[in-house]
Amino acid sequence: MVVFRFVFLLLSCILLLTGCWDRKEVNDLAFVLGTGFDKLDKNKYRTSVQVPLPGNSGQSGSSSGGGGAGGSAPYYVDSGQGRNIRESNDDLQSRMSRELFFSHRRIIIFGEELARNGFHDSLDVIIEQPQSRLSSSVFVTEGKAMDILNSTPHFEQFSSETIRELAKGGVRRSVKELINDIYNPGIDPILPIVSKSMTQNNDEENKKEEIEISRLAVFKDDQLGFFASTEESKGIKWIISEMDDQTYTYPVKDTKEMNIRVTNEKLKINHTVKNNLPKFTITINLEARVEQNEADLDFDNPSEYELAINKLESSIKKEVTSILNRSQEEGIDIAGLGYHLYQSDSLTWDKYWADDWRTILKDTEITTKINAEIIRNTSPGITIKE
Amino acid sequence: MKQVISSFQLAIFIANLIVSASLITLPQILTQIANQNAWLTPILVTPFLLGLVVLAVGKGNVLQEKLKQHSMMHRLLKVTVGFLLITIYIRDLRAFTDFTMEALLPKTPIVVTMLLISATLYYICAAGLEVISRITLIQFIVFSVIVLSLPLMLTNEINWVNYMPIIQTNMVANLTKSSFELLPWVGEFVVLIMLLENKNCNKSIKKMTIYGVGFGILLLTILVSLNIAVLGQEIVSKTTYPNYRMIQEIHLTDFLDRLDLVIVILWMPVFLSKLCIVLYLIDKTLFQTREDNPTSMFLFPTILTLGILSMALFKTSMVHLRFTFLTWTIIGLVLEIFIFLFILFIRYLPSHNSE
Repeated sequence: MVVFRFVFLLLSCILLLTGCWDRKEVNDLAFVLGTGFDKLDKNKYRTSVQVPLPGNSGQSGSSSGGGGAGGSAPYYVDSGQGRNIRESNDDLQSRMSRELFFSHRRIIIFGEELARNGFHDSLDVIIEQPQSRLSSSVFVTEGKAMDILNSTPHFEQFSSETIRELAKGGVRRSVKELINDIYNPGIDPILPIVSKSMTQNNDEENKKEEIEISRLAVFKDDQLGFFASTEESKGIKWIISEMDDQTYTYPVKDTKEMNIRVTNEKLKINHTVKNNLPKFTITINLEARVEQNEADLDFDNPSEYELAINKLESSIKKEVTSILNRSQEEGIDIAGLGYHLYQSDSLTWDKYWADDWRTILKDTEITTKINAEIIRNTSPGITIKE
Repeated sequence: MKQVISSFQLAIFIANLIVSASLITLPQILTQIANQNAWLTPILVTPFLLGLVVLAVGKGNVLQEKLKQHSMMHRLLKVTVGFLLITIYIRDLRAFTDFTMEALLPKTPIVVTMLLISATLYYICAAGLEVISRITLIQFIVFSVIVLSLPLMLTNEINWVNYMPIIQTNMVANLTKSSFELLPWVGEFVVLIMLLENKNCNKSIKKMTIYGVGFGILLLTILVSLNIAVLGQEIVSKTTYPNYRMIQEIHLTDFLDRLDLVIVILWMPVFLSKLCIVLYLIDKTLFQTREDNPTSMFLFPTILTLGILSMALFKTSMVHLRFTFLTWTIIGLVLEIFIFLFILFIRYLPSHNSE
């Protein structure tokens, strides 16, 4: 009986060893920090990955940040090609001694060519992969995504980390938000554009490469519509309510500007329907505090306060109206006006507008109203006049 | 010695039966049918269920006494319950092994996972009902705390706009279809009627049954609602394991990130507890003849046979999903209707002891 129990105990232990089947050592994994997707040709894609090199991370040559594609860089970038994203991953894996591990991927960059041709298949891969996270940030670039991963910014060790941190302070779109924007009716997605730039330090020989996110790309479903200019991007940020805690500069007098920081911004869409055609009023309510009063306006003086407010409202209105007109002409709904109709008047939306919204959008009238208030200003506060 | 459970343990069993398996893939199906209004489905089904409970169980003491008798109707009830339990066990075991293979252990053969789970279940079941009830109680309370705190943990990810529009074309038809899909899942608790004779007293049976049903539905509603609020209807419709995707979105701070594995580990014992009680009831209804034995000698062969069937009957995961959400919906509903009718017969017909 004792022998039987001993044997049974041994056999039980063997059964528990099956847990080693999926054993993965950390040093057998290649942690992917960022991925770039490019389209090379019809039915030919390139997937590039940025993978940290743990052995090089602590070296003095790289301790001040920055990296590169070789040498003692703390990371390296490699790519694979295939007929789809999965196949290009497999091609890449054939050259890697460690298994690609996507659970820590924080950024995904789409190249321009792929963005123009539509990328929802690539997004679906992310949903299908159990490792992938829906919270990864998505970007688009003018040119090749791989070039961005190869760049060498200075503050952070990895370009992926730089891009992620830059996105935190501006417009950020996760995979989850992007998918919802593509598939929800009556709204088109926006993505931040990540690009390379050079430092502006007046030293021609020592200009360094940096990464910049200052503009936005507008999409029609999952296909690139256009790259917005800097001015248009500001208008888009107002429309998608991404100006909270952002700074804004506008002219007040001839060569004098006012710098403000938006403390609270809310967008409200109202609509009326006449002859089955909707008419929209977009109202932007914002509160701001002054960061720099270059024009030296006295906010205690009602007329000067009104001047500051009026200039602010007209500047914002100009930017918003400009981008709305452009996107309306192209049948792109960046403000989600159709989505607003779908949510507030779903039965009418299904009946009259759902099938042909892009055409109807071009004929709709959109009125923009801005209500701004400066709630805090810099010194001096008030002046007690004698 | 006869094994007894308390009223509270009975309520926990009921809640566990309702929620622990339903949360795996059912929210995806409900969202595919009812879109962003899928969260209304458990709420719509609740009054119907509670009405059935009141009608069938009554105060519970009469039913408890009548279930101790023996008649052809009792045998039919036991066989029907046993058959329903077998389908539930096979379905849930395969769902669990598929999830484990997909999300946790992709390289481990599915048969090995099944054997490990079966060995664990045998170990717990062989100890008897009281052990199963104590394990269920502890694990389910922890699990409930997690689910009830999920709205707080996901506050920064919730987008209320995802619930809109509430009024939609074909809304009534869609909700009716999703209710039809959900009903057999939440109606599974009817099999616990076989535990009434193990209850320690005849008091508060109806009250605790209602509490158990209500709490299970509450947890399920919270999960389905959060799926839609956090992920959006489109992603939930496309994801086989929407709750798993949802808990991956938990990001309290950079430090309190990636809590998904922790939550899955806390959910697993709850699910295994459900399988334990299902197995125990299969053994009790179909094989057990003596009250002084916690289980019969057929328990181990039953576990092995059902485990093999869960692998052999479904060649692929797609076959299993189609069985679960198309075939089993009808099988489960029909069997539950029969069980309900048998309970009514047993409760309302005069006492008839054939032995």
